[in-house]
Amino acid sequence: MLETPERVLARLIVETLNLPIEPSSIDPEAPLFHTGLGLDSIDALELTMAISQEYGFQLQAHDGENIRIFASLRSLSAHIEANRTR
Amino acid sequence: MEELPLFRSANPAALIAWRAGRPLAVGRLLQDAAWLARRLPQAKYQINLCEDRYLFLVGLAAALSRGQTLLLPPSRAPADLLNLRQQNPGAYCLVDHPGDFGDVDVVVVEGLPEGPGDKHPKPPSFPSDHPLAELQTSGSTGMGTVHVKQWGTMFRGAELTGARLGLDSLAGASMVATVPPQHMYGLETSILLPLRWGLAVAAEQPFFSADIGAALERLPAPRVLVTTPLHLRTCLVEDARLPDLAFILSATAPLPAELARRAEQRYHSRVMEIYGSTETGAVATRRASIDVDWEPLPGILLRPGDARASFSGGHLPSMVAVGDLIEPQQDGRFRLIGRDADLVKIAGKRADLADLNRKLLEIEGVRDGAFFLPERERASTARLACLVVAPTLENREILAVLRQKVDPAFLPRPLLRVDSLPRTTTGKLPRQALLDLFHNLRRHQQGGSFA
Repeated sequence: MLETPERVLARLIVETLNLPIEPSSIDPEAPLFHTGLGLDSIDALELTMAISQEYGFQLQAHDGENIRIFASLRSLSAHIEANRTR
Repeated sequence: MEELPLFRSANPAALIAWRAGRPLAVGRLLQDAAWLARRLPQAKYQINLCEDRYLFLVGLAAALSRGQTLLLPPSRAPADLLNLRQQNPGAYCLVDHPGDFGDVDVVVVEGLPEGPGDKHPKPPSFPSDHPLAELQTSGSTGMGTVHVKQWGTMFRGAELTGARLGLDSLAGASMVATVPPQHMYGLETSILLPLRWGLAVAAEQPFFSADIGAALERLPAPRVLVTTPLHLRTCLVEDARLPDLAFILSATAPLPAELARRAEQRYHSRVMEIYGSTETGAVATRRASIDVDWEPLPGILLRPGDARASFSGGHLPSMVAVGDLIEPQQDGRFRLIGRDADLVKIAGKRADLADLNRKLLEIEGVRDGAFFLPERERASTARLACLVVAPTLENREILAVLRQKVDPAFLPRPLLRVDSLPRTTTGKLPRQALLDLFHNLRRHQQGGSFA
């Protein structure tokens, strides 16, 4: 069965950040940062590196849109799907 | 009483900042500061939360002209801000965009008038013993420790650091910093170095490596990057393009030699590293690609100590202890050989385990608990783990309370539940017993909850 991009990304997040949870337990619409999954800016940098290596593009803020990109698993996955080169 | 000038040069056309692609001169800053100063409340303290570095500077200059002192919280956690306000009633917050800061006077720096800068401002000087800022570190008591930074101390520290970094040949150079001005490192480097040495600092604080490159590209050479090991690693991993740099500065966590070498090779630039603390400010430097040992700034004296080292001399008003153990080497250099076990650094930030434990045990429903650092090597991205005895609480309830009280970098990962902690009969918690219990749990459990 083909894994959805969101599932693949959830696994990447859990593995990259050593989170002691099941990837499937991440609510795709819940916040990733501060509340929800509770990640912080250090995690954000670790994630950007992992995303760069896995999907072949660099995250960049446009007019301070950092927050929007990382709002939820769903929004991050959508952003990656729109920009990935791998 | 000696008075020391705020700016290196009395020339109002000298650049001090870059903001949205526009250069800003000292005259402009003084005009904006005077405008703001007229609007500040009568108060001893200004809690300056501006993220825009130019507005931070405007707030600082305005505060000084009103005889005020900056209060800088250890983090943006609501509890740290609340704590600061409770200890200093009457302090007001200075922010650069509206938000909810609780029950406190807030001044939003906005609506600065356009128009030419003041061509003939009186270059301000301030008494050496005026407290420029008070910074807090977490401590083993409830309140944390307050560190008062006198204007003269910060001034002289910036002189020593800047001279060591070769800033005498970089007047007018541009600077981009990826660290906030509210922390000691950001304050000393991205605020004090431009003031003392005539550099022009970018107002924005880039985050993604592509943005770091873009921010630097927008500025004229020569350029300086002030950053941390994690940001540097991110730039390398993502193969970010950075323009030519006079040098790169790193601090907040030890920079691995290999990372320093790769950065120097990739970016054709020296990478210099600063060693210091909130208590001392910067006291030593090294070029991590080739030096293991640190070279103290001129006049700085070392005392290794049994449990903690101390520094004195140089810009320091007195002898100050730090949380590290050091070993003097030849030629007056020193090597870092360990940390006081209770003072850990997570993500480059200081955490006092005793303080964190106290906050944990304050939570209603928590019967016992302990924070600790599981890994032996203190990698710059290691996280704290926590074992807790709290049969009536869910992990997310505990985490929700902790989120209010501590910097998010210190939130436990993972937070694991136990029936009891392996305390001795005298109540002590041996580290090895804690680690053994933790590793057993990890092996047998699916994993604790994180969120």
